[in-house]
Amino acid sequence: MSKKIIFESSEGESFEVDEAVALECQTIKNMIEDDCTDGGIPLANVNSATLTKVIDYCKKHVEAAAAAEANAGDKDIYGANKDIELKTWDEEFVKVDQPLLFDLMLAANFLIIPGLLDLTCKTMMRGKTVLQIREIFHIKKDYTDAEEAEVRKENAWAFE
Amino acid sequence: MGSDQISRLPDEILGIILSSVPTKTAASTSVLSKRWRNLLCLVDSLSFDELNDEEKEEDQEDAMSSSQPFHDFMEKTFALLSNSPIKKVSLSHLPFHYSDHSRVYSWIYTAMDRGLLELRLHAYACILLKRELLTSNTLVKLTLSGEYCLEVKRVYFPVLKSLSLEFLELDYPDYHRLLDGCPTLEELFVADDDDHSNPLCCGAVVKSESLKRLVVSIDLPDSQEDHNSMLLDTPSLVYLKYTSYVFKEHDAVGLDLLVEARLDLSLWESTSDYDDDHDDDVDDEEEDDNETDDDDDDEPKMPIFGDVTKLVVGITNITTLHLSADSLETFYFCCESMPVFNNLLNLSIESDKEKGWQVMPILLKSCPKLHTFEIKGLVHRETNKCGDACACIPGKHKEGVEEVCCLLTCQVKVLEISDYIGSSQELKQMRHFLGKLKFLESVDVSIDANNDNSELLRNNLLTLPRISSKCNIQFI
Repeated sequence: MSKKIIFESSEGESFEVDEAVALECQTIKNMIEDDCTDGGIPLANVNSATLTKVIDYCKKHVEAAAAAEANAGDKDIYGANKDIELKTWDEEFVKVDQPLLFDLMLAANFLIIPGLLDLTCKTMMRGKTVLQIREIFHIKKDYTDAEEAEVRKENAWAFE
Repeated sequence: MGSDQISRLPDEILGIILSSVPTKTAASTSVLSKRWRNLLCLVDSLSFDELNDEEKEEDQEDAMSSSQPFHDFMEKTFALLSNSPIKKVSLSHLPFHYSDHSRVYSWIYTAMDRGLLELRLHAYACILLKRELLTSNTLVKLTLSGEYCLEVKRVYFPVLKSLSLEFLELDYPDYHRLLDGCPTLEELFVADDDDHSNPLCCGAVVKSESLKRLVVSIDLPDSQEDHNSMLLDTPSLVYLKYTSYVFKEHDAVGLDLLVEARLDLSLWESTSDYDDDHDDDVDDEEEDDNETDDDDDDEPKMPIFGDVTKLVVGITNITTLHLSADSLETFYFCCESMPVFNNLLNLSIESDKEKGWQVMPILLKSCPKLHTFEIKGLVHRETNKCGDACACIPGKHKEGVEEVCCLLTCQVKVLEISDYIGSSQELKQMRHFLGKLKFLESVDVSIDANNDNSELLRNNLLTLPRISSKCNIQFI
């Protein structure tokens, strides 16, 4: 029976996970090593919906790593195929709305889950134009017209 | 109105975000607000594509005249990052003016010197890479595609693991210099199609001590004369996927470690004139105009181009074999004798209504340990040979020799059928499988969910007599 770790979301909801899953988060790993996880880990800036997804992600990646380990002998052959399978899973995983994607990215950054941080960052702007980026992320222009003209001139090709 | 969360992110996260979009987009975010003005220096991977999507469709001549801003932009970006490590560079471009060429490439070579891990270069039109020594101590993944020509005296990538060569104009010495310069190469991808002046070279011959995965896809239907000899000399290879028209001679040495082979080898000609039932059915009447000098029933027809005998012998250690519908015919017509695959556990084949299954009995007899047999589509061209729709009922064999059904001795335990549409040919085939495969434990059939008759198809299958009492039929 593997050791369990209890996370507490910002709403106060408890999530019990295997230690191996929690170890996917570098931040938690450090806490476990320092032995300060008894009585649960409160995550004041991660809500339940986000935490559920984060745990899903970590579980999947722990399982994938374990499967790769089990097939160590065959890893060379199937490694690449399994990678593709996991990538497809990841792609599906980040098909979420903008606010949740943002929360996931922040959680990954806070918990230090490099794979998830990379995945969410990649998804953030992919395939979008600057106009769409401005709109989606509500970025207000604070340039004067003259300043903007100068910025455009600096990277002329990028605005073609 | 939501709040602007993204601008409040720390630099390192914005760096990751901007590294994952084309560098053009990353640079254009500078116009968003002052926060975004100078973030390009945070990226660690660059991706430049000179043509945007519309231009790729059009004639490229127009675009070529206005390359200057693109070069300036690239140069500025590289200069901006001259003090930070660059992990990945991807560049797709048109031929440069000579002076621009050396400028741009000197940035790339510098990056290769300073820790670059991945490089992808694509040439929209003929570009010559000329260099004394092409090298990087850090590069792990290299992709060259499009109309690159190499003129390189020496290549040395001591830690390169993955190399992709796509639609290149390489000639044989350059190709080999490239492979020889990668002593730790583990993966090689080669793609080639019919758009070139040089004869086929990449992928036809592969020699590498370290290579573990090889994926080759050659589609040159107009160059039969180039398909003379194919050779694999890859003692570490564990995975092979080879797609091409059949070569006059295939050879493979030292593939003892190979575990999985996926072959899609197409014949150059149709084999419909080569069916045995042709001969058998027409009695002694001369019906086929092409064979006026042939009144014997031992058919001296034109031999089929290609010979895979040595390749097949070379891969006999594998545990998993996948054959396309075309490969089934190639294995039948271009393989002098079928060796025994003593370790083969999984066989999967694809069917095509134009392609025959004549090789099936030979193949099944050659796989004494077969465990799982996967068939994508049961519909195939009917020829009067064991393994077909009227399988193992030799029927009109003139010699009167009653062949023993290959399925009766087959050890297969798991049969997986996909793309089942329930035609009478398929049902007949299933009846045959279920009635003859003694060791079957599980049969998985996948029927298209949109099929209106799926209930009926299932019931039809479930009522078929099964010789194996342990056999369990499932629908996926």
